Amino acid sequence: MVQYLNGNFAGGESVADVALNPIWTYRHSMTNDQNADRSNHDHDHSHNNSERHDHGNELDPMAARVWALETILTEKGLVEPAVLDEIIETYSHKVGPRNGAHVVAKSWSDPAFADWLEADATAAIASLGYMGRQGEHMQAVFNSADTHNLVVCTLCSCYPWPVLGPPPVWYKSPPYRSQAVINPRGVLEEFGVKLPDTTKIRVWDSTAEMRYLVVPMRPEGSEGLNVSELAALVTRNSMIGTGLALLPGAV
Amino acid sequence: MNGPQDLGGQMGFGPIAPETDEPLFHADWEARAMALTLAGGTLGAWSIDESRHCRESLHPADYYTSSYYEIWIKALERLLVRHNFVTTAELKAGAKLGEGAKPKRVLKREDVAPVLARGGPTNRPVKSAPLFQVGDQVRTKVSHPAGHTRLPRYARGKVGRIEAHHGGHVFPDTNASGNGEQPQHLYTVVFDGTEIWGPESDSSLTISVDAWESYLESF
Repeated sequence: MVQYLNGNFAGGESVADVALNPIWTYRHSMTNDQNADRSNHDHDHSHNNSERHDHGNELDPMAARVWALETILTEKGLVEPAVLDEIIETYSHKVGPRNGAHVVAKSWSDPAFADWLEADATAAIASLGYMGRQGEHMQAVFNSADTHNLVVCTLCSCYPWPVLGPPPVWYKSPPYRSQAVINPRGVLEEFGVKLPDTTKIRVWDSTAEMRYLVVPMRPEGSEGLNVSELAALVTRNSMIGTGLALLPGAV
Repeated sequence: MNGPQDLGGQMGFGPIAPETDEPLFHADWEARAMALTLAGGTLGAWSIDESRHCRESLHPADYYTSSYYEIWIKALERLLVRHNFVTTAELKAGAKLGEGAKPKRVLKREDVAPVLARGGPTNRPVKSAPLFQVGDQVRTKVSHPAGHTRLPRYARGKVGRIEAHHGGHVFPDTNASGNGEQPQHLYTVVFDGTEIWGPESDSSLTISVDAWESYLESF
């Protein structure tokens, strides 16, 4: 661990880390345990290239580096491990895309709420209990047959955490951030979304603290569903703009 | 800065390859890295703008070959050293070697929920009247500041239209360097795709950025 940390920390512009070759998708970089856990249901994941991670019980370099930092900060009284647990618990179980799906489903079924969401998304969303870090200034953007909305942060990873949770890896990575503004139809095709040529595309680059929630079009055949049934049709990607809401039969 | 973070319109990064059933974290250390970064921010020594600038100041070769939470941890280490909470010797040793700076506050477990629910709103009063109104044509300035800025290169020197005015917001360009919040009016400016990418581009495309007033001039 110490050997790794030499020359790899703050201050310098060392490129020593390049050799580690972490990359922007995790198809080839999961630990043994995670591969084993996931191989039952996701065959897209390669099992033959995990050179970045150790296969034994030793910590891999990043695990060691983060553990060292947590140790130092804990010893110095700057961080309490229980606080870290609480933060992780919050975003693992309390804050995530089910929140946003609730917002969307309610807007589909309650025109007054939809109007409020359009006029003052921060307040309308807060009325459902979703607020705070990385969602302080919300705007909802509504898809229509005329216009499809797509959200990106080309400069970093701005994303509406209170309604969607922390962003997925692809959202934070160079391929999406580079292409979304210049070739959005190509991006959508990568996600399996083919829009009519007559549908205009609006890309929202989140360059300030405004956070954008896409309200997808309500799918056909969803008449008569209640809010929780509707929420089940609302995928995370449909609220970023890289997907559409599911058809009722698809759930 | 014209750094590795400014990715809009760059090419050659390959497919997006979204992962099916992606887990929230791909290893335990990623969860700890996320939580450490959030907890570190509550020490009160740096702003979110400074932390963003710290991440984009990684060497481009380092930035592009680091996973997201690796970038966060590398930046967090630098911020902690810059603000004298830890030393490079401590990072090498993986242990406390002496006393460091005193934080404004240390987050407690019972404060996590209210602190996250409060977040860090950036709206601020601005005394001057807004220079632009919704519907105005504007041009983004051509400027290449060496420090932090939130006007992407692809959107500099482009003519667009003010679509929304969001009131005053903290100005990241000054706040990132410790020169104060200096709030300015913030606008959503929308551009035709062809204005940004040329006549060959998708004519059905519009792109917006959120731009502070000093990024803009009348057109």
